[in-house]
Amino acid sequence: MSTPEEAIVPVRKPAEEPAEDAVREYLAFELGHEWYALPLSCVREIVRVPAVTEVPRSPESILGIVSVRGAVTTVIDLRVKLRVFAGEINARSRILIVDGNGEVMGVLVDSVSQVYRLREQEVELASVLGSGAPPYLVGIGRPGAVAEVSATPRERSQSAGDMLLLLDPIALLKV
Amino acid sequence: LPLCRLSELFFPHTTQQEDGESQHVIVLLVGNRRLGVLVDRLLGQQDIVIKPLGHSLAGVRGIAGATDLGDQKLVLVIDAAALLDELLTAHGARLAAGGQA
Repeated sequence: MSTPEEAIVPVRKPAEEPAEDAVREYLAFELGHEWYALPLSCVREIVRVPAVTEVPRSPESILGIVSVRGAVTTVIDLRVKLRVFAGEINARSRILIVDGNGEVMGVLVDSVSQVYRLREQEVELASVLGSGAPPYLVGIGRPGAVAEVSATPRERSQSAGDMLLLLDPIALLKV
Repeated sequence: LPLCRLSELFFPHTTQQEDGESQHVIVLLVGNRRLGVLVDRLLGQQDIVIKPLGHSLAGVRGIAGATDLGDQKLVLVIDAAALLDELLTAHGARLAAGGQA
């Protein structure tokens, strides 16, 4: 079993970055007007939402199943887990194909924004947020002065920019 | 022949449609046990490859897996033996009573 800390893998250091600065890449997405992010290393693919088949008798947090490149993939409904009201499925909706706890699952989100590279000092760990923090919350990312990957000024203004709720894929995909 | 309404079994909390005149009964035969299953409509017959559901759906009774009919939408495949077990045996009845959350 890997701990959530081990699950957040990529510690790629750009050449110009000081050596002691650990940088982690996160994929940011929108759900119910909040911005969340998952470690980029656990996201295999981002797909448009195909027809979802509802599975009777499945847990409430499961939206249904879809076929992704021929594989039957279970799709999680984060609205139930995170207790948010998300929008209807539309042209911007995507399913993130996420490598969770031994099972590759889909996560329905309202829209995907961009990849953020967060330095350690830009992440406030959930452990310092107090005991009330849910298990799937790793911390809060505040991408600030550090330059973002693939961010045009327009993209930056679309996203929250100032606050990302960083999620732990293993805890998140636990049904 | 014992009859079961699949919609009631799988979606007990949704309001059931009035029985149309052209409902069909599919008769399942496993061993020497038979069960009639009421369905709304018959769509066709096809040879398929059953793909298993993921671990997260392992606890779902009565579904054997899913199949891709080529139009990208997955179709659920009923586990006939499990359905008969559930509905025709006391053991299954206990499972159904305890397992419905």
